[in-house]
Amino acid sequence: MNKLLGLMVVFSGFVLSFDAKGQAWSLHLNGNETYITGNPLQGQYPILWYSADENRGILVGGFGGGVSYTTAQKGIYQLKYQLNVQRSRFYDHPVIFTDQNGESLGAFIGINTNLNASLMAVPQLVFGKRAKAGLGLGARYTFWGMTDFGEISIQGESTKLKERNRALAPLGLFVPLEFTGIFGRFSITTRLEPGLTNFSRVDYFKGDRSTFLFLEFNYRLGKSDTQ
Amino acid sequence: MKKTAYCSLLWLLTFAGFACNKEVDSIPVPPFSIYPNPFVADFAVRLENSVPANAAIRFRVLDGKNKPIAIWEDLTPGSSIIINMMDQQKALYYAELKVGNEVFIQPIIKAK
Repeated sequence: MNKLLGLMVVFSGFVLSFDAKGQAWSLHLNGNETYITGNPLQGQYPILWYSADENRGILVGGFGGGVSYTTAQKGIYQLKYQLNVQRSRFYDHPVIFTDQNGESLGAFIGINTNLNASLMAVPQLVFGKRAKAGLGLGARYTFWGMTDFGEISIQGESTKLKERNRALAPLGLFVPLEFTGIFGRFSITTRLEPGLTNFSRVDYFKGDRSTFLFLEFNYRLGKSDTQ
Repeated sequence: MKKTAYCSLLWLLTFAGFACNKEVDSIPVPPFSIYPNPFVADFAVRLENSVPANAAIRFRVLDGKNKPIAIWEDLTPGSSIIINMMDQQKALYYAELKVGNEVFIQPIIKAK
């Protein structure tokens, strides 16, 4: 734990003192949504919403953070490397619940929550001091997934149905496409990350693809001129 | 500057949409039923009579990694079997039926 803390201090010192002209480190906070194409039974969960239905209240979706390094600008080009870690959510495949006699109790939609990390390289076009756009390549590693179906009574006992879900493909490739508006050290990015590889490990869902949508707030560190 | 910031934020929020889709129009019902679902230790599988008797039938229970936990190839239309999953962890699994070249799937839940 102390070693990790030490490493974090060294890394923070390195980031804050790094002052090579035209290069920049940035910190990112994001909200994200997962869209799944190829399977109409899975739906996107909101980033932040209020739902009066079913007493669900405030819905908090995907969020996370990251760090990026941007190279010196050459003409109107620059290259960004970004590492993100986030929680993502979507409405999972409905499950038909049945009782002991085989009578249907209806279809229940669970909320899938998964933790994933993504690493991407994004060549960018810089449009003056206010905007830039980029298109690149990235990889995502999903290291944990769970689907929550709420609580039901089983054999007379109230049971929480938070089920480990190992069906999400652990490693996937995607093509990040992003637009950024810049306001001094701060900037806002909208990024689409359409998947190139299967979203699920289950053969039946082969061909399903994910597209992650990110709304990201960025803060540039150091004294660099690069946006 | 302020105007640009507000316009950009509005554009981003509109683009992001904060979309939500919990609605599903219809769910395909496979020609087999699993009960109870969720289950604790075991569950029954009943094959519908509508399944053609002369077709090659294979029933499998898959874990999330697509690895078969159980396989049956001698099911007949209208018959039932009991599958014991006592040794398996609480998790989401998949029941898969292959009739000829057609494949049906249904997620199943081990509750405890």
